[in-house]
Amino acid sequence: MLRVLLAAGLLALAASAQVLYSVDGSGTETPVGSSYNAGSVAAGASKSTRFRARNPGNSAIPVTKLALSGTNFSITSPLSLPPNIAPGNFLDIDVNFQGGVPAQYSASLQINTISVLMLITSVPAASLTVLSGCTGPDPATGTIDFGKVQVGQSGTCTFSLLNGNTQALTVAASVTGLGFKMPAQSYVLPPSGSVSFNVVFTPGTGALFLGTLMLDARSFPLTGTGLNPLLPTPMLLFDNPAPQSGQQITLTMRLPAASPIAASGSVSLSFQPDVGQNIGDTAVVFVATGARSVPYTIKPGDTQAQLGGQAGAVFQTGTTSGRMTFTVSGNVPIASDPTTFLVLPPVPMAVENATATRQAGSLDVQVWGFDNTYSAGSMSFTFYDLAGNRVGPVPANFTSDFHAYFGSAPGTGSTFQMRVTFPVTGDSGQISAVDVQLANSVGTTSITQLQFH
Amino acid sequence: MRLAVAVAMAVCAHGQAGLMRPVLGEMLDREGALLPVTGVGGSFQLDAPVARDVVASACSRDFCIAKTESAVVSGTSSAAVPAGGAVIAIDGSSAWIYFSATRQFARWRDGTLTPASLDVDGEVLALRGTGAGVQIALRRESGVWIAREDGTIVDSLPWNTSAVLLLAHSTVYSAGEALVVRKADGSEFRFAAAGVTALFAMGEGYVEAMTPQAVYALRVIEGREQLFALPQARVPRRH
Repeated sequence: MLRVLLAAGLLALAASAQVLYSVDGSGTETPVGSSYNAGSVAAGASKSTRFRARNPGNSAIPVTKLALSGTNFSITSPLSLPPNIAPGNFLDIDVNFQGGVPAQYSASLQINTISVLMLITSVPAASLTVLSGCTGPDPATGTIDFGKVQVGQSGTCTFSLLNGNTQALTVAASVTGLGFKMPAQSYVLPPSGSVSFNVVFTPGTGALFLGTLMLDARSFPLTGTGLNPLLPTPMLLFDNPAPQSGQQITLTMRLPAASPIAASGSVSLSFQPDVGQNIGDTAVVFVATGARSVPYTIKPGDTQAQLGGQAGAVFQTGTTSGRMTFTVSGNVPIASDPTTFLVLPPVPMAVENATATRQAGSLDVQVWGFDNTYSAGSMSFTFYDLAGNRVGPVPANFTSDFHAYFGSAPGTGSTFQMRVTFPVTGDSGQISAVDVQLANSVGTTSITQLQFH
Repeated sequence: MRLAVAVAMAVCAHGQAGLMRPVLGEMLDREGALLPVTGVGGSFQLDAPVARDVVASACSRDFCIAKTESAVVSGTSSAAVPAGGAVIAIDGSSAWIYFSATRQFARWRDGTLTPASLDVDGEVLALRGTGAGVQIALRRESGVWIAREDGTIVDSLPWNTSAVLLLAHSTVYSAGEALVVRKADGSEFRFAAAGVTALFAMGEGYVEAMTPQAVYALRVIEGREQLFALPQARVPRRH
């Protein structure tokens, strides 16, 4: 775009000597005479020309008139006149020309009492349209946008050049700018003829890329954004569809599509217990690491991550009801958040083992298990003699004992080894078995016909 | 006969309350540290190591015993022994020990180690104290056998058995990619666990199975047999 400035020696702004210059794209000022040839513009395109009225004097020059007459010409700046140009200051006047049918066009630009005849030629040109792969040209800027393309991949934009004129055209097309590519070529277009060509955008990094498509003297800014490749959103899967406390569960991390990149990071789990913020459960860990995170690695083309070097990672659910949260972090961005939750519901007391032992004058019952509600204590024991007759039931309430026990080592979960002793009057050898009922806030767990030894 | 039964939380021998953390035994990790294991099956917790440089160990409900490179240790007692690997079998309140490097047997009782004169033919893989004597799992060219100390064969195991643990009422062995519990009646439970190189009595009802990649805990409680993975210890290592 060529910019022009009106020189003071040619245009008298008031009575003092002024200097008018043309201003080109690099800012260079060139004196302007009574006429100014702005060159040519492709039919259908527009061209902006800048004039600069400079006041080199010692007093302000009032601006009384700014006018432009001529078909397809318009002043785009200033939109309103300043009252004057201060000493040493200048006023820029931007004139836009919209190329019409091929012909020479003229306009008269007047500033105060000074006039310049402005000439410009609209030349035949092919019209550019986008067929696919990008958007534009923007009506105002001519910009063509390739959008977002993943690093390492390419976006191809297909253009069409149409010669809407009655004479044949030769159009030289080329592209500049890192990441944009097309072979420089000249196209000969007969009247009403068209041709299509491609420009390929291949970003090398995750950044904004700028380039230019040149069609003869016309230029179209090219823009495109390189996106670092995304890891397809991992799916965190468990081998147990109904997980509960006291279990070991295998986690696998799968991808919905082959990974385009290598990735590594860690899967972390956190645990929010139901029973209170201050009761953790240190048994909730990945067994491979003994910690709450496990590393993962993914190679290009993989659809499943390696967790700690294995296809799956076993974790313990602990012995506290609550919610586990699994998060994924790593060295590459992920398409979307893969965070996954796993709820461990409150359950009746779980019993791993139980024994019944006769002692001199007493009977011992031992139970190993856990209570993921931390509400244990109410229980009952029904004994059986050698003839199968019931003795009892003997109710018991050890709620305060359990409460004290759980409180003595917070964070270690709800596992317990309970030993209950029953003093016996008579021959304890007559007792053969016992039924045990253990209650918590969820329900009752029964141990039936536990044999005494 | 009329029986009267009252109920009370027990007071244990050490004066503790009737509720305590379930102690499952001791785990020998792949770096030779011996760590107490508490919890229940599937929810294991490891305490700080109680011994290092351990090459073999065994625990029962009553006590634990371990062999380091240079000593046999149980509680506060220890005895100097030959270097190298060992096979340990708890027998009530005592234990049988076989020192692989010197092919010597010994009996640990009341904190004292006494040599035992046994002559066996083959590689000793495991021992089982029977109260009256000892049974021995042996690898010979002809296969893997379980024999009494007088040489009488009582059972055989697959030729590809890599590790054996003789328990009071069952035999645990590793063959191929399976870890097998053989009950006294000959019935078997099989669990997938490839590459088991060693088996230890982790505690009452639990057997530790060590592989190059992982350490397992096999629950052998009657009717509740199950294989679990043991968490890796997060303890400072000595360098």
